Amino acid sequence: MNEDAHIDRAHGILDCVVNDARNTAAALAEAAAQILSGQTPTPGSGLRLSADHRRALQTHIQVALQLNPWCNGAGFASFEAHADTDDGYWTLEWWQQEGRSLQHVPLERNQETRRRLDFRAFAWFDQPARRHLPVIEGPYVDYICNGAYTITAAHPVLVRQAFAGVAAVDVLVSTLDRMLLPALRRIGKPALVLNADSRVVMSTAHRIRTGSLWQPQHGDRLIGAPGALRLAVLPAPPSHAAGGHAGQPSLPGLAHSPGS
Amino acid sequence: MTAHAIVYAPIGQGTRSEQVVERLSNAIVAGLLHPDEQLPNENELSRLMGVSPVTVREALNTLRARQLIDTRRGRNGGSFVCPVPAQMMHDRHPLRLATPGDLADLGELHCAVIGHSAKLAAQRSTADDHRRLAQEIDQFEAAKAAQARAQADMRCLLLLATHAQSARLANQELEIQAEWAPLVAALYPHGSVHAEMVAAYRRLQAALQAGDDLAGSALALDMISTQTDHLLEHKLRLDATAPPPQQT
Repeated sequence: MNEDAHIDRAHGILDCVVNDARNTAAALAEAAAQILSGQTPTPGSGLRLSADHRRALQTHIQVALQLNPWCNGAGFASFEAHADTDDGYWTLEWWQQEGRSLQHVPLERNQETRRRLDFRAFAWFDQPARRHLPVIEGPYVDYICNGAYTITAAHPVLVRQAFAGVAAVDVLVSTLDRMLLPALRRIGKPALVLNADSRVVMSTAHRIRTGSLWQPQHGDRLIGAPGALRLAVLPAPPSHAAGGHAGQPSLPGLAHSPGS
Repeated sequence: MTAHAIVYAPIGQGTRSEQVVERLSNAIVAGLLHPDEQLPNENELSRLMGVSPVTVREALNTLRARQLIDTRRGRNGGSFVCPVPAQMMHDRHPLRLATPGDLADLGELHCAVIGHSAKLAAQRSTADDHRRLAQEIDQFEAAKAAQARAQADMRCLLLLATHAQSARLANQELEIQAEWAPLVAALYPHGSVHAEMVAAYRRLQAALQAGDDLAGSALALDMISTQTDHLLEHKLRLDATAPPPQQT
């Protein structure tokens, strides 16, 4: 039984989801750019969707979800500033997927809520808006949409090089847990999924929690590129058979029932 | 105590419709919802607040009868917030309607959520997180109007809860804020409370940046506890000018 083979498999699954998320966001952004190609976005901000644009966009959003069952939500976000004020219009065309059912989430209707819980503060909007670059944000608590711990892949929508909005896809950490934990456990050593800030997305290691920041230590194996989600495999915990070490600080062990 | 006692416990004071009325009425009277602001439609309210459309309809009828909202038909129809007469603002302010016990109790829950959020945030914040919180605290400091101060305060607390990296804590904080914000808004016309909170936030900020989870937690607990004390004092003063109105 090859530990490396199990690590490769787990890493493969992780890589697959991350790449699919990136590509789906990029494809959605491209489709949005085509649909909006007739518009001129206001410099420094986005634009508003006409009814026709919205319908066309919705088709692409629904297809993106249907093609990617792991994807819990997808959509398009934009902000149109009203001159000289803090005010504006928040466009948030968003759909959720649970099992096989797709639902429109009417987030745009209450603009007061959009103003109080402003999505422009999140990296998934801000990075594409300011730097015209795609980004993967997370894990973070998405209190704007699903209220859950989430990872979002976002891509700028550019119309003639002007920023028109952001196309984004969500995967819940709970979904990632279901997809990846069995493979992580089979590795046989404590394993973590880390984001670019070394924040723990998921963990099979004793006392290392989701959401905490992990300092990679000597002996940790890191698999994957540093800028994205990657795998960390920790050294195996000390064997229980090594008696007389009662005072030893505990190394991270596998979170399973003792004696198994 | 078996699980049944918790599961089958009464849902809360009053019927669901009364709870919806109270939440919306408090927000309107405290100025969190502005005159002429449009409410979400019935289905949307039903979804947002987790109650049946029938309950929403009942609540909206009550609010209409109290002249807090106005319903217009037609293409641009919907329910809109009415301007609140000064007397009503005085009589029905959530600070007057709540009992001191209610206020203290809400304060305890809020202390628990924010105290633990601060502890986790101290352990789990990146440099970017610290920068974001610093920005929000700056905005809170710069806010002049009472409503702007209350809203900036809520944004800081929500950010703190999200920096704990816990969906449950953040969602609980949002729920608490629905009641807390209108109450705290009554304190902010007083410059001294604002200045005190700014100082408290700065001390908290320093503890978080130092990664000191114990100090952060203690400071956060103290901050919310002090706000609760202010609310209780303010209520005593309000009640001294006239006895609290009977809840209708």
